[in-house]
Amino acid sequence: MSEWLADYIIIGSGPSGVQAAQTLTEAGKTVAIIDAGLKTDNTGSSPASFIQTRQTDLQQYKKWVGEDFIATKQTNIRTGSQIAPSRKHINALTDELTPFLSENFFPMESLAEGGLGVGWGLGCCAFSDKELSRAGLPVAEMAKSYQVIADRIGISYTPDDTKPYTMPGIKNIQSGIQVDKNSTHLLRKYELKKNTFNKEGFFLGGPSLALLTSPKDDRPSVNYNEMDFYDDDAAAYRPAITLKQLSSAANFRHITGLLVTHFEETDTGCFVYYTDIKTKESGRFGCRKLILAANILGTSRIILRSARLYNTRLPFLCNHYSYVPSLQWRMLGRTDEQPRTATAQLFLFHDPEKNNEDVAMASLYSYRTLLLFRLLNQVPLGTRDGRILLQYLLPAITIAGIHQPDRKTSGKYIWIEKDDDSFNGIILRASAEIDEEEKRKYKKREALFLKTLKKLGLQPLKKIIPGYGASIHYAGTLPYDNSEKQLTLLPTGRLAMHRNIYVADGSGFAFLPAKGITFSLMANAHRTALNSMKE
Amino acid sequence: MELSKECRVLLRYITGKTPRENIVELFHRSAANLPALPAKEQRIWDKCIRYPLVLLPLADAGMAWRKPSSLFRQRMIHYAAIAESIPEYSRLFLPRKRSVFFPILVFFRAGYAAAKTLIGSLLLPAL
Repeated sequence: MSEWLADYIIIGSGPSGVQAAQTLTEAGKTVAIIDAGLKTDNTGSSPASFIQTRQTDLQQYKKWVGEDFIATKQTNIRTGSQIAPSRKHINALTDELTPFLSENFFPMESLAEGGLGVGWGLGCCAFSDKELSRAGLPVAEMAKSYQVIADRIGISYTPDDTKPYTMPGIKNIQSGIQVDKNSTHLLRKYELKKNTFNKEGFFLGGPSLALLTSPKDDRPSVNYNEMDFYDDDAAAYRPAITLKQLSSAANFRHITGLLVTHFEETDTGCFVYYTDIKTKESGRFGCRKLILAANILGTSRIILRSARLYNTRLPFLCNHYSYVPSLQWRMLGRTDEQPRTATAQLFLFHDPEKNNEDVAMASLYSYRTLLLFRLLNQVPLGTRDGRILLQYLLPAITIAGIHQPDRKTSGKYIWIEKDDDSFNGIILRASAEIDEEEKRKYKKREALFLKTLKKLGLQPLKKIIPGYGASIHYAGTLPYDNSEKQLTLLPTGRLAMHRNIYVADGSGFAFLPAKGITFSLMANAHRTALNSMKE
Repeated sequence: MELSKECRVLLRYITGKTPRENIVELFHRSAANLPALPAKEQRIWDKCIRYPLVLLPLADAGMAWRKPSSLFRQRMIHYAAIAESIPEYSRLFLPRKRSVFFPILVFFRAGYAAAKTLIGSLLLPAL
């Protein structure tokens, strides 16, 4: 092959791609990651805390609303850390380069270096054995992989009631973050009525996060300056950290500025075809094995186009997501000046059967660092009066983001169509019809969460359901299957009916637990990379 | 000139303070990014800027209730976001220690604000 690039080509530099790359590079293989690799020029960590910045920094508007004032534009998709202007490159150019059309599904895709991991909320929860089995993932392999990833990225967590749902059996975990006053009150209330909560299937505890509370390698511990949504503190794990480590390895390359369109398998390996996103010139690279880690939508585009399967439906999974701004009365009129993070402060799990199989989860955040202006339009009052009222309520506002598990249904599918006007000649389309039974189930569970929040001393103000896709957890397009059936994955991660093509993202998950997918994606990518070397 | 006047009026309305020139300049710059208002909303907006003491609080409150997703409100939130990003106004947006009697004040203020919303809603069709 004249265009030979490396033993392994990995498509995508998100959490899955970089972990697969690390595994292969450490095993001595030559590895190249190819992606569009869009970057931001607004990274790094600021020494000033959130409050200091608010009181002194004349240029702070660039952080909160952006130099181009982008944050005041309304959108129904971005949530949590994705809303920071410094992370606006997450979905830059996607409309242009990876067109997507749907009336009822609004996913976020990324062409950024680090992929969707750039805006990851840092929550790390391992799937239980039952969840892994339902997802089609081998339990023993995943258990080992979780440990490898935990050792690589560094996780902090305080062992408590939520341990079975977060870090079951995982060792070398750092102590948990110190939570804020708002959350301390909630934990106290929970401890007082713990038996009742547990009887109803609810378990509350500190968050397990990819955030260091002690230095690790050359990374510092968390600085508690509350700028987590806006800055890239090296204590927080991001794929860029692994990319930086790998960049010093002689057997690793990262090639950016390319959009991979399709592949072609040969007897000895495969060719990967790409288009340069600036020059629009096309080309190809050769490799022995290809690992796709372009997020389920990007991976589906490449696989369907490679097989010329236009209008062929693939199923998909996406966690139902809603969020509930709530008030903790006892915090009204108080200030909380202690150092803290802006990340999730608590995790609340709902496991009605107490068997860790059908678990829903809420992440609880104190609102302060997202600023008042985002709430002003939720209050039916004039701007000035709304500001005065919200300023008073601010220390008491907690946001509960509720995720629910998703299973395969016939109403949710994607497909590609030819589109000569688009950048790469195809458009990805999706349909997501949620049936009535599913809707009822979601609603019932949300009601249980709201009831529990009340018992914890939080008064829910409103339930907000953003556009379907806002959970940013997607999976299940090529479900794991033991037979060599087209458009499925073997449990090893190999694409059925191919010898040299592997998929290391969430495409194979046949069930999507509510616990947040990133930690499991990384563990799965590691084991897939290992399997690709064995076969 | 008109835009500078608009910035001053809105900042005074949102924060209760007369802005310094460099702040007006920042508002000016940010306003270039705003989408144009539909004709009817623009008419109401212009009247609000002309009669800020009476019309602005009422029309803004009315819009917050009747048309929270309107470009009129989006523009108002935009200005509030810029104001929130200026150090000298930060104490108007950050939590402050309050006395135990403060909720009574808030209660009356909320009642007064709700009355404005009601009057504003009734007034809007006439503007």
